[in-house]
Amino acid sequence: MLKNELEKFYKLIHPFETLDETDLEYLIKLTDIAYYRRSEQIIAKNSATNKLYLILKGRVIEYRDNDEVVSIYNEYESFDANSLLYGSSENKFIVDEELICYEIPKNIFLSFIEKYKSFRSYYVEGLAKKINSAKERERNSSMASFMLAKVSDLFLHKVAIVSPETSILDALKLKEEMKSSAIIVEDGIYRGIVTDSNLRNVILTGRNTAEPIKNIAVSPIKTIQHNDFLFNALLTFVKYQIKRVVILKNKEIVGILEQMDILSYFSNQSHLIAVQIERASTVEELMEISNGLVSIIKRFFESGVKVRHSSKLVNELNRKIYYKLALMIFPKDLHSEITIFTMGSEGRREQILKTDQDNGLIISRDEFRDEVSIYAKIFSEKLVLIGYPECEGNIMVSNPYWIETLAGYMRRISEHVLKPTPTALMELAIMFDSESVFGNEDPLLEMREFIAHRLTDNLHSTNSFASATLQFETPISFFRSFLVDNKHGGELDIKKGGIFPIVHGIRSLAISNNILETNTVGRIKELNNREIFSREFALELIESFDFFLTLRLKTRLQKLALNKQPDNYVDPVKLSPLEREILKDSLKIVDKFKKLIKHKFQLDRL
Amino acid sequence: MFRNLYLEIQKYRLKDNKFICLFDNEPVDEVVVFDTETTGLDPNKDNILSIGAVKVVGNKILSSESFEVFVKQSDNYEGRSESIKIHKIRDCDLKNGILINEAIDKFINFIGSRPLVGYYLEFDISMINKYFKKMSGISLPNREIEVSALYHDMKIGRIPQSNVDLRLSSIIADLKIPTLTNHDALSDAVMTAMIYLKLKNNY
Repeated sequence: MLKNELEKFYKLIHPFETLDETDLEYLIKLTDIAYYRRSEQIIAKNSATNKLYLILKGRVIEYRDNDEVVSIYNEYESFDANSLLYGSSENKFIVDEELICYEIPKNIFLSFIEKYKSFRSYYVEGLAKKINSAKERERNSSMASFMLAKVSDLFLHKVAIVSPETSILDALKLKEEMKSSAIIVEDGIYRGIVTDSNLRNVILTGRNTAEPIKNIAVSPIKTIQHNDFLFNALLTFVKYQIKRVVILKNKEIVGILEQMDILSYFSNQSHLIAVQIERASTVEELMEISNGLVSIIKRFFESGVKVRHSSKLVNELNRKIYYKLALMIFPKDLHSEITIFTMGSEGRREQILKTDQDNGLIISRDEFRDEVSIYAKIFSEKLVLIGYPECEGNIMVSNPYWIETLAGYMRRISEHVLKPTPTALMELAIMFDSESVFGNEDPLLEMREFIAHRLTDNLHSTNSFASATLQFETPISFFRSFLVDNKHGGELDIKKGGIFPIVHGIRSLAISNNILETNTVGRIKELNNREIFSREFALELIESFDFFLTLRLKTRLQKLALNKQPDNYVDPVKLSPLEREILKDSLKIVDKFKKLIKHKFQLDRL
Repeated sequence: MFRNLYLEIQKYRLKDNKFICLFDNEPVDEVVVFDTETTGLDPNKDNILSIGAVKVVGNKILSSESFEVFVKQSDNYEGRSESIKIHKIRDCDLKNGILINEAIDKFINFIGSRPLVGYYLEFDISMINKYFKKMSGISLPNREIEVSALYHDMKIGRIPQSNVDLRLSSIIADLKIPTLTNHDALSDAVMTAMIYLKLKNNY
């Protein structure tokens, strides 16, 4: 009988084999069979469908907008549960090989989702898995970014340009001065290049360095326009087997592009920037490099790098900029007398787009205070120029409050612990999350250990410190709907709602467990190692945290592109259905985590 | 034109008005695919054991609204052992079956004025007509679509003068139709419906 036929079919398909007899019979009664021709579109993008399709014979391909294949469905596979679950389809579904399929109505499918755990866990996948597939979707443009990058997107090496009659020695001097990678010889008509290997030959052959440079220059030179595609530059390198090409803006030489630059551009962009920072000799140059960081972050984001990884790299680069700037500004004899440290998210290496400066300074002895203060002011001013805006709370070295000896800081810490006002607690929190960026590291380590000791000295201070975790309501209701901020255009504050509770709760656990690691994910891992919570929960927490950061980065990049001030607000309506679901799941995990904190620090007794 | 004339004549001959639905206007793009299981191959002396039918609307086989009846047989009816062997229709299936006239009634009600589609349809229709004629005075007036003929035309169009293998299993294999393992009337009707859809869409 046909019934047996369908029964057999369903028994072979997970999770339908878990249906009980009544439901299976009911399902069989409601099953239709449909035929679709090759290249017919079964589900259009953004359309509502009311059926689940199970393939009996044939093949269907799911395409994204740009005709990129998302998924292929073969015999005994079903599609598209997401359209049914989230009301509309994210992609289009086209028949690739003549299709005969069973169709089951939406309602019965949803009733199974509700009734059977097997259906839920199969179709409404685990959180981590969902996040990964969302990330997969974001990854689509990494190849495109390679194809579309322009020569001008790259850092170009400065070039020393000399006239043909300049002596070899003078040209070499200029090259060294400019830290240029090659010398261009130019007089309007003639153009040649002198590279390091040419110069080496001068020495090896015992040539007179007073000779005009034109005698050793190689001509003609290969050039490429600055707005040409990087891809074409790569082709030029391969075609002519050369290692560098001169970049023109119209007819003017603007720099040199090395083959290595392209390679590292795609393999290790951060390395290239690090080199640039090291070579920089003026504040203006640091400024330029720092401006380029935004596009690097974008590219990281587009190529699907987890935010917690890319933020580490970006913070590394920020630290290098801080270091280089301090090196330029503070006189040499002060270097060993000071410690400059960043606090809060920068200290935790979680700052992804540059925001406010949060920094402080430890002086070795009181007598340096006045002198250091002068340079510290300049330091802060230059940081603003480079692109790190002033901190609203004035937490920066230009503020005398943040220039102190270790003993001075310790005194203050003790006072804060004794009088734990909210401001005092937040100050302790950001000071505990600090990292040195310049000078002597030891005093900072001492200071952090001191904070941990003072806070764990008595239970009451530990608990009142931890209580801040609960100060904001998680913006999700019991019925999984978002609690948005109507005063803020129906958006929700993802920092208060998700990021802060995790950061602070984890920080509290770190302090009470004497963990000195500053990074939140690092702390979670360490807490897991010490079996404070289960591995599963640790993973969920990390994924949720990463998702919040990703979402914040994504909306911030969008706001930047619209010339709006990047903030912590996210509009749930503008998210994709999948992102909305993940956001809900993640907020639920925050709730779970808050309960754990409440329990661990006995906060219901406060 | 001739068809209209034919229908008028049949309508005139119709004895029982409850079958008037057969003369409604044909619904657009709907057919009924059906198959019967019988005790043998001779309409004069063999009986119908079961009827299976599905509606096909557009490119959809409405298996959720399929039609399947078993016909009550007298004990030790002729061809009993064969039908058990071939059709896997057991005595108990037929015990709960309905009388043949009731089965025909229901079938007529199901098909209405839709064209009928089948594999060697002629035989199935004459089996139905054997009873239906006595009940109504006429033969089924519905249009008939023979899938083996559709298949034959398609094959001949491609390779003229060839011998076309018209066995059901060969057609199924050639058209890459998923094979259902059961061979009862409804399963066969569904398979025939798949063949029909494939031929209708491709050739």
